[in-house]
Formats: sequence, C-alpha cells, structure tokens
Amino acid sequence: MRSCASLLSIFLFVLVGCGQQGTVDYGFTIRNVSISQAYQSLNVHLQQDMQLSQQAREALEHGVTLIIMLQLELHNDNNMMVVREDNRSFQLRYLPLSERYQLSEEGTDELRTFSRLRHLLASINKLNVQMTTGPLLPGNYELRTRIHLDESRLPTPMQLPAWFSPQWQHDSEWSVWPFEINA
Amino acid sequence: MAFRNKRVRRFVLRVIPVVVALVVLLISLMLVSNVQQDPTRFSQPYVWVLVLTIFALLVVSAAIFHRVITLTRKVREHAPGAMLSARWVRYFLALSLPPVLIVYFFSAYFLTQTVAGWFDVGVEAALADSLELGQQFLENRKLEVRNQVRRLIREIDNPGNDADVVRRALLANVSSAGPIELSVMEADGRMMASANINMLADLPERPGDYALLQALDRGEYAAAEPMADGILRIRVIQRLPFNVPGGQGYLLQAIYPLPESITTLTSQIEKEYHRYQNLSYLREPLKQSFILILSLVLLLTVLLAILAALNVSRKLVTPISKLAQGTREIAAGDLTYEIQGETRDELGFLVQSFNEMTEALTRASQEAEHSRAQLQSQSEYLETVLGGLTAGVLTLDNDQKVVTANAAAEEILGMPSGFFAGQSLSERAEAAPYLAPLANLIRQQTGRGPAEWQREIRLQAHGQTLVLLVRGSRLDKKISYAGGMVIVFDDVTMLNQAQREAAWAEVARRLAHEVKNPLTPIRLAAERLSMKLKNKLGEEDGKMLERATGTIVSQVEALRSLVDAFGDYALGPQLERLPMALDQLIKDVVALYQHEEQRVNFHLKLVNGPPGLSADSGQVRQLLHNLVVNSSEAVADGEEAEVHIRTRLINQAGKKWLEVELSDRGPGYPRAVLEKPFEPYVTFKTHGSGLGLAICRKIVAEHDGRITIHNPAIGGACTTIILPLTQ
Repeated sequence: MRSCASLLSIFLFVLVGCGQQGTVDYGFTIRNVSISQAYQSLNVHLQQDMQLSQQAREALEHGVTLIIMLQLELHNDNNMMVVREDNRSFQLRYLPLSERYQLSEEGTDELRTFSRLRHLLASINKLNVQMTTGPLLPGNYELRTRIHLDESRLPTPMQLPAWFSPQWQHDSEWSVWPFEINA
Repeated sequence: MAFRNKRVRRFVLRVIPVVVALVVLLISLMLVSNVQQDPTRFSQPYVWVLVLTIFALLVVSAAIFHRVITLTRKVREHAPGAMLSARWVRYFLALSLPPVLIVYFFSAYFLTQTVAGWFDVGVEAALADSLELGQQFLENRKLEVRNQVRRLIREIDNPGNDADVVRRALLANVSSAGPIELSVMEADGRMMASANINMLADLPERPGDYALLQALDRGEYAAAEPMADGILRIRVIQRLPFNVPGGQGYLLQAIYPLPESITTLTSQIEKEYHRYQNLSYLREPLKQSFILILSLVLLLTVLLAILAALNVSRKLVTPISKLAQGTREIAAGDLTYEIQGETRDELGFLVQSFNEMTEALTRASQEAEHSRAQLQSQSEYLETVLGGLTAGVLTLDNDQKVVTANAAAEEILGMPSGFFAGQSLSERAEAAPYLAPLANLIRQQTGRGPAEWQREIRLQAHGQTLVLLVRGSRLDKKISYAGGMVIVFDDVTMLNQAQREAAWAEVARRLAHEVKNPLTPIRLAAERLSMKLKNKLGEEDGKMLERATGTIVSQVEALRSLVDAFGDYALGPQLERLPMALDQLIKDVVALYQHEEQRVNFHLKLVNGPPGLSADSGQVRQLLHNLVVNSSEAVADGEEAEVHIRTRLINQAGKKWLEVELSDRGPGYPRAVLEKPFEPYVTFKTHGSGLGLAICRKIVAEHDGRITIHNPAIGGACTTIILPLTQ
C-alpha cells in the first residue's frame, strides 16, 4: 500500500509540477554582458540575477551540492560556426559546522565561503570571465551566453522529479550579445 | 540459402529485443539490489536505464498489442488453434501473475522498510548533538582567540605609517599555537603589513566583504572558516585603536588554527552529519525511485511473461492449428494438403502421421476415382446400348422400384422421359392405369416362379391395344439390387397385327377362291332346276320349288357378297392417292342417305378441304360408308340414327393431321369389339360379316393414318380417324 502511495505521489508530483503556473521569484536572468578584447582572448563581464527556488535552497541546506553551469559560445558573423565555446561550472555547498556557504569553481583552486546565501549569489551575480579565443579576425561576432542549474548533476534520485518540477527550472536560456572585432 | 538467411534474420529480430529487455531488466534489478550499498550513488546509467526500460516497455507492449489483436481476430474468425492459443495464454498468465505480484509487493515493502531503516531518531539526534558540540567548541575557541587578539592589540603600540615597523611587531606575536598569521589591513581590505609563522607562505587571504563590513560596523568579526586550503581555521578581525590621517582606520586580522585532533573530529562530524542530512532529504525521492524501478521491472516482467505466453502458445499451437487446418482442407476435399515444418517431438510425429494419412487418402481417392470412372464408363456404355435397343428395358430393385428405364421403354409405353425414375410400377400404374397389366405381371413373377420368364400382354393405351412380349429375369443375389429384376419387352402390336392380317388375308383369299368358284354353278343349277321343273310340277309343288330355288339363289348372292368382301380384305394396297376435298366427299356420302327410307340424321361440322389431303377417294368413300352403316344399323328398328361427323386440323409429332370423328347416340361398341376392335369376324350385328371395322382399319393404315374407337361417357360409339396432310 505504501509503495502504491509512493508511486502515486510521483505522478501527482509530476502532474502538479507540470501544472504549476503563476509568479515565480526564482530563476536566472542574464542582464548584461560587456565584452572587451584582450590578447588572444575576450574579457567577458556578465551581470545576472540569480535566485534559487525554495526547493533548491532546502536541498542545498540538506547537503545537496548544486552546480551552476555558465556556457559561452562565440559565433562568427554568419552565425553558422562556433568559433569557441567555454563552459564554467560553479559548485555551491553548505557547511553545517561553520554554517557557511561555499562557492568554488570547478577546475580551479578558488574557494570562497559566505555566511549568507545571498552574499554567495551576489558574488556570483557579477562574473568576469576570460575567454581564450586565440587570434580573431576582424569582423562581427556574437557571444551567446547561458547560465543554468545543472539538474543532471543532482543526486540521482532527484533527477527525475527535477526534470518535471518547475521549482528546479533555473535556466536563463541563451542570450545573444553581438560585438565587433576591429582590425 | 535465402530461406536460411530469412530464418536467421527473423530469429535475430525476435530474440534481440527480448535480450535487450532482459538486460535492462537485469540492470534495473542490479540498481535495486545496490540500494543498501550505496543508495545516493545510483550511478550515471540510472537515467538511461529508466529511458531504456520505458522504451523496452513500449516495444514489448506494442508486440503484445499486435499479437493480442491478431489472436482476437483469429478467435473471432474461428481460425484453427486460436481458441486453444487464447486458453494457453490465460492459463500461463494465471500461473505467472500471482507469484510476480507477490514478489513485487513484498519487494516494495522490503525497500520501503529498508529505506526507513536507514534513519534513526537517536542517530540523527546524536549527530546533531555532535555537530552542536563542535559548534560549541568553535564558539569557545573563537571567544578565546578574540580575547587573545584584544590583548595583542593592546600590546601593539601605534606604529604609524611605517609598514616595516608594523611587520616586525606582528612577527613578534605570531606563533605556532596561534595566531599563525597576523596582518594589518586598511578598511577596504588592502594589506598594509602581515606576518606568518611560515616564512614561505603566500600573501594573507583577503577577508570577505561581509567580514570587513561587520568588522568595521561592530569593531570585530570572528568566525570559523574553511580557508583556501579547505582546512577550518578561526578568522578574527578587530579594529585597531589608531587611525591613519584621512583614512577609515586599520584592521587587524588574526588566523588561529584548530588542533589537528579537533579538526579531524569536527571534519568527520560535519561529513557524517552532511551525509545523513543529505540521505534524509533524499529519503522520499529514493523510495519513489526504487518503487518506480520496481514497478517498471514488474511491468516489464509481466509484459515479458505475456509475450512469452503468446509466443509459447503460438509455438505449441502452430502444429495443432496446422493439423486442424489440414483436417478442414481434407474435409473440403483437398487431399493434396500437406503440413510443412515438422518438429522432432510428439507433435512432429502427429504431423508426419497426418501427412502419411493424407497420402494414403490421396491414393485411395485416386483408386476410387479410377473405379468410379470405369463404372461411369461402363454405365454410359450400358446406357448407350440400352438407348440403342428398340426393346424396352426396365431394371427393378427388390422393392419393385424402377432403377433404370431406357428410352425405348418409355417410348413403347408412351411415357415422358423420367416417368419411372425411382418409382415402383404399382405407383406408376396409379398414374397411368393402363400399365396395370404390366405391373400385375411383374408383381406376380417377383420372388416366385422361374428365374426367367416370358409372357405376352395387352395394354389398352389411349384407345389402342398395345401388345407387349415381356421377358423377365431375376437379378443374381451376388450383385447389386439383389432380388430385383430386369424386364425386357417388345412392342409386337404391329407384328401381331400383321401376322393376324396376313393370316386373315390368306384365309379370305382361300375362302374366296374355294367358295366363290362353286357359287355360280350352284346358282345356275338352282335357276335351271327351277326353270325345268316349274312347269312340270303342280301349283303347290311349283311354288315350293320356286321358294327353294329363290332361297338358294339369294343365299348364293349373299355368299358372293361375303366372298367379295373377303376378296376386298385380302387384296393388297392398290391405292390411287390424289388430292381430294374430304368435306365434299363426306357431303356426297351423306347425300346417299338423305331419303325417306333412311332414318339417319346427320350433324356435320366440317373444315373446308382441307388442302394437303391426298387419298384414294374410292377407299375413303368405302371407309365412310362402312362407318355410317355401322351407326345406322346400331339403332333399333323404327328409331332414327343420329350421326355426328366432325373434321378438324391437328398437330401431332410436328406434323399436320386431319382428324375425322364420327359418333352416334346408339348403344356403343360392345365390349368384345372394344377388346379386339379391328379383328375380323368380331361383329355386333346379326348379319354382319365382321369385316367392316377390319376393312376400315386396313384402309386407314394404307393411308398412313390411325383409327381408334371408344364409347364416350355421354353414350354412343365414337370412331376417330387421323390422316396425314402434306405440308
């Protein structure tokens, strides 16, 4: 009987999740991207609003590590070819002993702790990314950016509900930022 | 080779999906079995296994749906083996479903209990207490180091803006017991001077904005923080009591390490607490995932069981279906039907036996067909022979029912084709009473008397006498229709008549020859005797002599007339057939009887002519005279005869005929005449010669016509003559 109830709850959860509508106070939005050219690279300064849903906060405080993925794609002017792509993953953890939130970027040794989650999110709301591009020909380019919560990196039992629950949909979708490389 | 490849391809296409489904099933089971070992790490294939499982479910469901639809259609069409196959599937499911469901519910219960068993209130409380203890330790340690930092600040004099002075002061206070690092920074976090117990250490880590703000606002910040190397240390930031002109003041940051044993313990507590919290949080999703996997596994198992049931039932029933189909085909007459695809089991033996049986049936059927063809050929031959016979042939079974009757039999008896089919002669005699003598004869000869017999019988058919020479032979008991009889009969009427006529003609000729010759001398002698003695005798004797000689002469004349009549009868046909108008001839004959002495009233109803009649007018005139005389003499003396003469045209057997019907209202023909109507010397008149009707029949026959007599129901006698007309 309990197993049936559990199974039923999954489908109800999915149904309710799919049917939820209305105002949301969470999600990721890329507000602005400024791009400056450097030596064989681009300095990308991103400004975004990132708020976690109640479920995501609850999961974080219960020891679930959240992965925020920043995706950058550089397209040429005809928009057909990806010149360069760069993915950055930021790991969010909660440390119950010190009651602090920890932010780290995968692939780097950088590790920062915050006493409040909002401080952590505030710190990640402004990101400076150096995107190595190699020599770029003069012309028009587009930088496509996307930042989202990676549900596939959640603990496996949570993945299936996360796919269907809007509470776990944190995705800025792709935004396009054109710029020009001068000779 | 193509056949083999096709079979291999079909085998692969059937087996691979099932193998894939089984692999998915096993992986799912493995995932479920690993639940106690590492529940939070379902491993990455989890999602793919779920997707594959659902895909496998869809594939298997589609296969089952297709098979069920096919089976249902076959059941509705009453296809051979369909009912049996459906019954097999039901039995199979009834046997397999209960244990599967029991295992499912037990496993679900076990999983639920297992997941619930991971969590214990006491353990959770202990972990929380441990964590709180660690936190309390850190708080105490923070309090200690805060006081130490305060004392340190009091010990440091105002160094002014000289960074080297400040660094020397800081170096004098660092120690391995703590602080291990001291640094003075400006309000914005820029380092002025720092000292570390490790001379080779990097630059001091800048505190966070929150820490700086709190230190500036409250004058102090203290917290246990994991440093960049991940090791937990206590960071204390306090405002220095001296300021730089124009600045916001200085901050002193001190980093205190924790004892290694304490660090290890707190790290372990945090790790376990973290893991427990994580597990607790994932409890419901875990249970749901396990139940989902179990449900999918159950569903896949059930569907595979159904599919297996369908396949196994089909495989088991296929030979039986083929046998049933073969039985239907053979029942429908197709003896060449052969069942393909034998197996080596008992069903294969059954199929082989069935094929052998059909081969035997085919051989037997061919032999039977050959025999039947031979029989048919013989029957046709016999029928042809019988059809060619002029004699009538009837075969009867032991119930006297006619088995065969050839065309001659029906023609002789004047019956339509098929008149006797399957009927007994007695039954047929009820429909045609004149067959009664024949039926009686055969009934008398049935079962008694000699095996072969011969009789001559007469049938009165349609006013004519039919003389049959009937020969019978009983069938041998060793053949079919044992107890039956073969009847062969010939129409000997004409032969009989001709023989009689020939005999009578011979009699008449001899009689005429022998009698006519002495008549003249007798008459002359009588006349001479009368003439010689008439004057010599007395008056009385003379009268007696005259009466005697008169009698002799008159009798001689009567004898002459009789002899002449015999002569006419005996003469052969010497006709002069010319076109004639019968109506006029009838009127001429009637005119002879239109005087007062004759008491005959004629009623004529004649067709004109008719054209096409070719006859000897003298013979026809005699024919009419004979008939009119018969009618006029048939009435009693003093009565007037009423004679009706009617002619009409008729069609018989595709020919045109003239029918002449002469009837009167007299007493009719006597029975003896009706039985032998045209027999010479059969007469009903006192002074008749008995040759009138015989001569009439002879005249009509010589004109290729027919004459019949009968007594109508209204009374009197009726004579009907038909004469052929030319086209």
